[in-house]
Amino acid sequence: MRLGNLDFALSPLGAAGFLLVLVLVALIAATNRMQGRGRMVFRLAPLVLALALATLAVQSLFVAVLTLQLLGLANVFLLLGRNPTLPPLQAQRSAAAALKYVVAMTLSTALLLAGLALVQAHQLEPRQAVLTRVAAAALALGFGLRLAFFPLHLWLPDVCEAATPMASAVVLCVDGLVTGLLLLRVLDLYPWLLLRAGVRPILLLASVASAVLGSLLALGASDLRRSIAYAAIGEMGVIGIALLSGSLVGTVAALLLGLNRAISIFVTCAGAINVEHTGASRHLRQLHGLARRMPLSATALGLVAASSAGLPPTLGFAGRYLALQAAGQQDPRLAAALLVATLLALGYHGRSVYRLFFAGLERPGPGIREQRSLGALSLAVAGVIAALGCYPWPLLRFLSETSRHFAFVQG
Amino acid sequence: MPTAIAHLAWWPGALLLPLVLASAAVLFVDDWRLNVGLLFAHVSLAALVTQAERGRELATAGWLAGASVCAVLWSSRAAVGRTMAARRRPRRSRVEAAFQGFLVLGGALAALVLSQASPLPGLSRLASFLAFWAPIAGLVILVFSTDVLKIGVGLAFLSTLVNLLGLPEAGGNRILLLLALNAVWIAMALVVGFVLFWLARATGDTRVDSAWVVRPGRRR
Repeated sequence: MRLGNLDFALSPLGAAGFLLVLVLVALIAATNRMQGRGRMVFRLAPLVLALALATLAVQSLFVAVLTLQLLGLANVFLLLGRNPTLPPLQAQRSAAAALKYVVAMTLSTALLLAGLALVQAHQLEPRQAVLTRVAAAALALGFGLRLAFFPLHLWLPDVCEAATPMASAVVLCVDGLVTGLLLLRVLDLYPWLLLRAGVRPILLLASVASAVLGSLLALGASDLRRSIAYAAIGEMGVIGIALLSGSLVGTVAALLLGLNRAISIFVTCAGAINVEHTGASRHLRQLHGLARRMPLSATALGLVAASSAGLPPTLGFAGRYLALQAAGQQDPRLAAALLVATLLALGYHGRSVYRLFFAGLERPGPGIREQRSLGALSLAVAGVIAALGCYPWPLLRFLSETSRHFAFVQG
Repeated sequence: MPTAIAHLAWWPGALLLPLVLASAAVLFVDDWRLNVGLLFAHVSLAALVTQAERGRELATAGWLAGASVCAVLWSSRAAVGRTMAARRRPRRSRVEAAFQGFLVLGGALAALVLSQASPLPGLSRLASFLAFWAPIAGLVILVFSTDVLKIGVGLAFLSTLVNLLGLPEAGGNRILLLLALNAVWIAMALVVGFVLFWLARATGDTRVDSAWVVRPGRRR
């Protein structure tokens, strides 16, 4: 399709990604509605969807980066809400978190635009090796900042802590998905960025550090919202390792894990909002025995915890298994690092499940009751992870077919 | 503006010192009117360099976008100032001021060395200096400022880099890209203005906490 001077075309993967974004935005809006919260999500949903669609479909990468920046700026309204109703100290923290988000997104956009400008210059002068490295570094920093890879992740825990869980879900799921798909397009158009620019070892190191440190920080976190952010950083690290293996198996694993991450984050955020709505503390130690009071939400959280830890038969198991296989083919040390990250994730998620279902020393107060509609919705969405884990073949076939055509995929 | 630029195109080297001074002064000046004025000065000087390097079209678009960002920031802060109670600003200690001065000097030297050693492709040494200096100055301002307006000014500095590097896509897309790029910078200023309003309504101040980049104390 052509609109003015711009060409628009949606690849099968882009269409699937937009469908997922559409479903996630609808779920987030429905969850907000069930909680009786402000209408900001409803007002912004069409804008968010339009910008996500434009980013995925527009052929000019420059325009895609600009629409992605607009998507990030629109999220600020979700992070802060329309009217400040918080006490001054919390309002300051929220404003600081929103500013951190704006700064991270704007820096990332500047780096991506600079990187793309240099990449196009490189096509004119392909012998300039230094220029190739600078362009690859600018793009890696831009995407790393947006996707919160170590050590560019510092903004994410503060944003997740200050924002409502549903605003965090938009930032982590919608923004993360669209950015990830844009990264795939850039790698597909300029595969030499990975193959020749010499930045791959550094990116692999950053991914391993994200995977291990994210899980470690999640293991040590005591705040529910911050633990969501750390777990998301850890999962992004695993996705990075799988993608950087450059093989077909690794790319399919990265896509599977990306899907699993988006669904898991939505369910976890829905669980968090349900817990907070009841007035219970956000401190993880206070959530012991929550399954007795909130059986539906706790079961949903248990399911996504099992999937994020890579336990069968879930989508996360399929993704982690394939990622391990791809990393093993690339370098046994990489597979070992991935195994360590998986064990740490297992420890973090295992502890969460233990707290929810088996620990009962500090039970939630008697007034705490689950919002059943929200619990049922979470459980239904979490069920998708289990269903796809039990029967992943159509999804695997689709992802293999679409990944096979990527120029950066070897073998 | 464009005709004035055309006459000054032979004189770009003399812009170096005012450019550095205008950007560095933002860090040390607390008055918001002066801050926006310094941003406007930076945008205008950068437009002169861009005109010499990339042509009148890009320079004019960059200058218009920069002027719009200044207008948005000015009007947001002015509107907030009417309803906000006057608060005493914390004094900057000598050590802090010296450290910031040292960083600015180091940044300027780094930009100078980089631009002389490896100028960016298609750019002169002066334009390369500006392309390196603007993001360095912007980052230093972002790290040390707690005032929302100054953070907006720091972000606006980044637009200079993108304008100088240019948009290589040929044909009709170039104009569209130029418009889209500048619209994004203006949208960024509007969002900073929104945060300014929001914060002022909630706390009666336009500053975030004293160390907004890295928060003190152990937080898990």
